[in-house]
Amino acid sequence: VTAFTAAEHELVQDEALDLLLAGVEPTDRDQYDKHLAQCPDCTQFVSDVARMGEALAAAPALETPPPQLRDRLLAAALQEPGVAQPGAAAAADAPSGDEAQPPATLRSRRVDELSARRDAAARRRNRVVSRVGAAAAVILLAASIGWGLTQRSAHDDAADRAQRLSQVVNSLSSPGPVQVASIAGKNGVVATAFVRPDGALVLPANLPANNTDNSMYVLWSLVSPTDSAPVPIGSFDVTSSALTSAVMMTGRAPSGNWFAISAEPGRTVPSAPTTVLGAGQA
Amino acid sequence: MPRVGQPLPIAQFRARDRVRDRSDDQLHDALLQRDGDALAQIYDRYASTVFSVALRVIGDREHAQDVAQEVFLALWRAPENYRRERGSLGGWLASAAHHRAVDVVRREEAVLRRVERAGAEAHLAVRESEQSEPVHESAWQSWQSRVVRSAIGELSEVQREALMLAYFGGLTQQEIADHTHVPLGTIKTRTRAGLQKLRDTLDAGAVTDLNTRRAGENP
Repeated sequence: VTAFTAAEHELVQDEALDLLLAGVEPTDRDQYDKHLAQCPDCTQFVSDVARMGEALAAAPALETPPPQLRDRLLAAALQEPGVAQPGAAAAADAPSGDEAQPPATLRSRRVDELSARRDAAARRRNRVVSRVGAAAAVILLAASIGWGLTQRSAHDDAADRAQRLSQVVNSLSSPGPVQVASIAGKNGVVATAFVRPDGALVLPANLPANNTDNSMYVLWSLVSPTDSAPVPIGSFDVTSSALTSAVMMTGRAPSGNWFAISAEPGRTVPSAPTTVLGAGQA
Repeated sequence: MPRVGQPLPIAQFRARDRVRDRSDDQLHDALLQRDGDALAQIYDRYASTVFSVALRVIGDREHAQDVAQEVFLALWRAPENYRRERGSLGGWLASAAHHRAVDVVRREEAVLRRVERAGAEAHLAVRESEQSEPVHESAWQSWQSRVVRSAIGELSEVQREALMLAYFGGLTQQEIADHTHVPLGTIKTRTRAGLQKLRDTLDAGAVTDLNTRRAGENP
């Protein structure tokens, strides 16, 4: 067993944190792996961090993916090498003597094909991820142009993010009931609202910056989706520098567990929403 | 019956009721035998978990869908990469989704991930009291999610911040230190202490092993 220095242990464990929590590869992956192969303590540390990583992955409240994703996935799986028959369940459904279950030799060949093409599959995966990245870059560019974002350094962005995340956590960690509602419009979720009896917080997800001189957004509370007398809880702005920030508001207590966001001309809260951008139930 | 190379109607590729009680290990075995129904059933069981973690990290539903699809396709292409002795299938899929999602946002930086991080953070902090989840087979996963969020709530504010910025923000320890203007050593201490506290809380609580129970099981 190699005798490692304390600094070497610390380096590997620091890199394990960045790898398992933030997805950042170690500077020298071979050295990292080599250390772990010879160090039970660091291996145990990595195992513990990985287990907590899995736990953290389970933390987000569950969101249901759109139904079409299932069909898209299965259609894509069908295009993979060696796949052209339903699985065991379909085979069990087939009449006796049916050809649903492929011969063992054919099945083995499919597995072999799969192995042989794994590298190609890996390349495809990389391309897909690249496409995801490219698409995200386009969206980001469009957002930057459309919302008038000025060029800011990554340092500033991250500092803002840290500050605002802290704000969110601090705001929501105090005792008391909170209603949470995803506010969705015709094009998807526009914001998430966290409403307490004494105020509310909105996380804009897809709201353009408004002109703070002559417009604003208003969060409304409704008893039901057809409530004819929505109660304004508070107003807020989405500015270029606050596109991703939590917005604290104070106002009236909610009247129900439905919420809506409207865009309003002017800086005075009207008696009824002008342009409803989305609604959702807590 | 379709032959090799012949497209198969998607309707035939769905999980059947008769096999819904298959365990994760049985489903993994079936995947190794190229059983498409097993893929469908695994998707039905873990799609929400995978999609949710990707969504929390990326902050965009379209991209989260892409990541989720890639995670399941990767399992389909190489099911042997999942080693059951190292943990649960659900945990492995969730970690894969997290890793891919963080990889995407770290390369893109800026708005998308910031939005999602904030959303994830807030969800983590406040949704313990959630009454129900609109997910058909997620009773256990919903409960598991609440337990973890509750454990996160036990962390100190600075520990929680460090863990959330790292895990859902994709920030390295150094980046967190830089951006919070806190010494790197302090951030490391907070992160490690937070992980330790999280582990202790989870291990000491009702969740003796988050990784062994299957989806669909009620606590």
